[in-house]
Amino acid sequence: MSSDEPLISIEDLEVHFEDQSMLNAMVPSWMGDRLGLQEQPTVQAVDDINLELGENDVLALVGESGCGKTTLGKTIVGLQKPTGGAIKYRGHDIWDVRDGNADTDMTFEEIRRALQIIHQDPGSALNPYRSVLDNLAVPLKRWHPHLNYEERRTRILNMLKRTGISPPEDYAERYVHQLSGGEQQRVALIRALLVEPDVILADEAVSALDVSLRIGVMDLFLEMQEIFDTSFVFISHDLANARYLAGKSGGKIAVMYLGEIVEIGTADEIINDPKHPYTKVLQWATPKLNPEQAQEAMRESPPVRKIDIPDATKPPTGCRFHTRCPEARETCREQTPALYEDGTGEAYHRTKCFRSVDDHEYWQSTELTDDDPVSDETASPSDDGSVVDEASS
Amino acid sequence: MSHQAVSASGTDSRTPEDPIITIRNASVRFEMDKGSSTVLNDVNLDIYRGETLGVVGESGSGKSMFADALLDAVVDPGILTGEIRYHPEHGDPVDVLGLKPWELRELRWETISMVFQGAMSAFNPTMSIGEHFEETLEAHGWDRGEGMERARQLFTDLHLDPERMLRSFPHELSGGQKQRALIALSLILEPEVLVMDEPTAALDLLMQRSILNLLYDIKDKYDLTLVFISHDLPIISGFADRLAVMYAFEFAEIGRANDVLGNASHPYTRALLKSTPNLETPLSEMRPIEGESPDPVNHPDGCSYHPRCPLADERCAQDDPAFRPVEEGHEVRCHYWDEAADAVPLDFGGDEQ
Repeated sequence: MSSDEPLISIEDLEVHFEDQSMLNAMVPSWMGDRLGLQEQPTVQAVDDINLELGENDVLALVGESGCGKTTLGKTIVGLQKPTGGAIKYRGHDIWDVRDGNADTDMTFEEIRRALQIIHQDPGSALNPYRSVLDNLAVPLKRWHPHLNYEERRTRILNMLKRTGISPPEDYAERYVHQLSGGEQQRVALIRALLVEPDVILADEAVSALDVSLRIGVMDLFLEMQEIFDTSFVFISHDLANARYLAGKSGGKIAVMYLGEIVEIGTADEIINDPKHPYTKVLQWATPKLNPEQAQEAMRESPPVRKIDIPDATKPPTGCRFHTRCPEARETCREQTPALYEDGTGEAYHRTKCFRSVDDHEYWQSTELTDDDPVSDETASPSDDGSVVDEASS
Repeated sequence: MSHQAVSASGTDSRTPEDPIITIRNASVRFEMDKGSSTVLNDVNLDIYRGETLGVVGESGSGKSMFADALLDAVVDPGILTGEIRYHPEHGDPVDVLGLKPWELRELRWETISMVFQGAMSAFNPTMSIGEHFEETLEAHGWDRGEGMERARQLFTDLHLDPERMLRSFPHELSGGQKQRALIALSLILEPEVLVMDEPTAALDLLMQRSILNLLYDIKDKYDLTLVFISHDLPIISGFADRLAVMYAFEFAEIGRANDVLGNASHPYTRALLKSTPNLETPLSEMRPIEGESPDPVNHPDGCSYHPRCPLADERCAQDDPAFRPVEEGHEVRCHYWDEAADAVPLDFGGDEQ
């Protein structure tokens, strides 16, 4: 366990889900075609991801519903087993450790404890039949069985006070429905922090809150990160939230589209110098407060050729964004771009788009338009009954 | 941030003084064991024909109650008092609260239509989308052929494939598609006013913005007056012509969207803008709003915002401020509105002075 080993490293990660419905298994393929069933529909939830997360690091995953950000997040904290590639905690493959194939004395229990999660809806993640104190006692009993009631209570009250819930003695006796949304989210955060994890995955932890409460809760996350040296993986569909968290903590933003990271960089690089056309779409979608800029954005059409996201069981060929990309050309349909480094070499900025390569043949190929018959082949959800949008959120 | 610069850019081609709905002294009260709870407090507002009005407020500010009141749809045992009038283009004003049940039912779909919060479950899962349209047309005695033609046109305008949509069942659609289908359904009986209560809150940002863009584009074609209710101030900036900011069950500031955003004059509006994550404001400028919204049972005396307001003094604690004009068409309920800009400075980036 050398100190320069990243906390979490992800190599060529891939998570595919297969549709194992009875109907698909029973019907022979020739009949399936006639019935309009898809042949072994595999959802490529996450593909070709390489990432590292250091100690005290912040990573924000941003993208539309169905882009695979939750699947990737769950894989990072060891809740989802990858179908390809590796996910390592301090250099040890998490799933090898679990299966006893790893040459180490590290246990899967230790890893599970080091990687915690906070859900989108804290109200339903906490036990409604138990008081705040009892809810928070659960992880302490599990991981610190030697503590007695008084010691547990003291620790919990301290945490409540630290996260700005006062008076803590009063709140400790309350039930979940007696707390506001922001307070519930604080309690969920405390529950995750009580076991002193290395990484906390916060899945859309602030997007359900009122706009005016988001900064407060995000500030709390950042403060706790400082105090407890915890790394955060923060999932959001809102670029503005990602900017706040990654920007204030010096972390990174990764933009995802249909299971792939299409652009990654510091908050400053992603917000002020977006390179990928999809990142620019997300930027367009993020509302402006300046009234003139806001009206201008409303008059413009969205900078995509199609509003709806394609079916994840049939991702487009080549660059997966080419069916909606306003900059797409012939090359994008035929070839898959790599995650190209920013030219300067200094910065961390990487973009999965041919436009980042000055002398790529992309620049010579012809532009794709919606009249192009081929682009219809690559499944927009308007020609099939997919429910990709909501499925993974 | 000079007044002149902002007002000059906010020119509007419509005649703004033609109200389609007028609301006077509207209040909603619930009588409970622990006391009387006021969830809409003596609200006055004109909604102009053809405008897009954005009603903004945090959870529990009374904005959904405002929507319910517009259609006399407040649930029991809530008591709605005051006066709500619908003004047809020709003919006498209609007293909405005095309508008979069948008249109210007609008004609700054919004049004022509504898309509620939680629209995802608004469709019957056992019926195709097409059947929902047929059922609605039949229940109101409309011609089915003409109606379905209109449905197809609405789908096309909302970037949906009409034939496929009519065939589909709700579970086969994505959230964004369902939401657009619901908007189409709410427009099938040619209403004049469409009231939307957090219609896009469950969708991701890109879909929300795309739907707003479509509404923005079809609004004139269908001659609509839009009332858009949301907790998300930035999402409706640029979309709404006028904004009405709710705080603690009443309006705090009303005006043209440009003026309310560019020259926000209520300390609450300014604090709300300051607390909103966005891409332009420097990170160090963003701040949460201190304190909590008031409880509907224990309403503070004086200005309801005074316990949280940096400008509050004795006067605010005792005296509930009336609306004062800031500039033409822009009103604010604050004793010290002209000091708000200095007390709560704002920086949205961009080219504002």
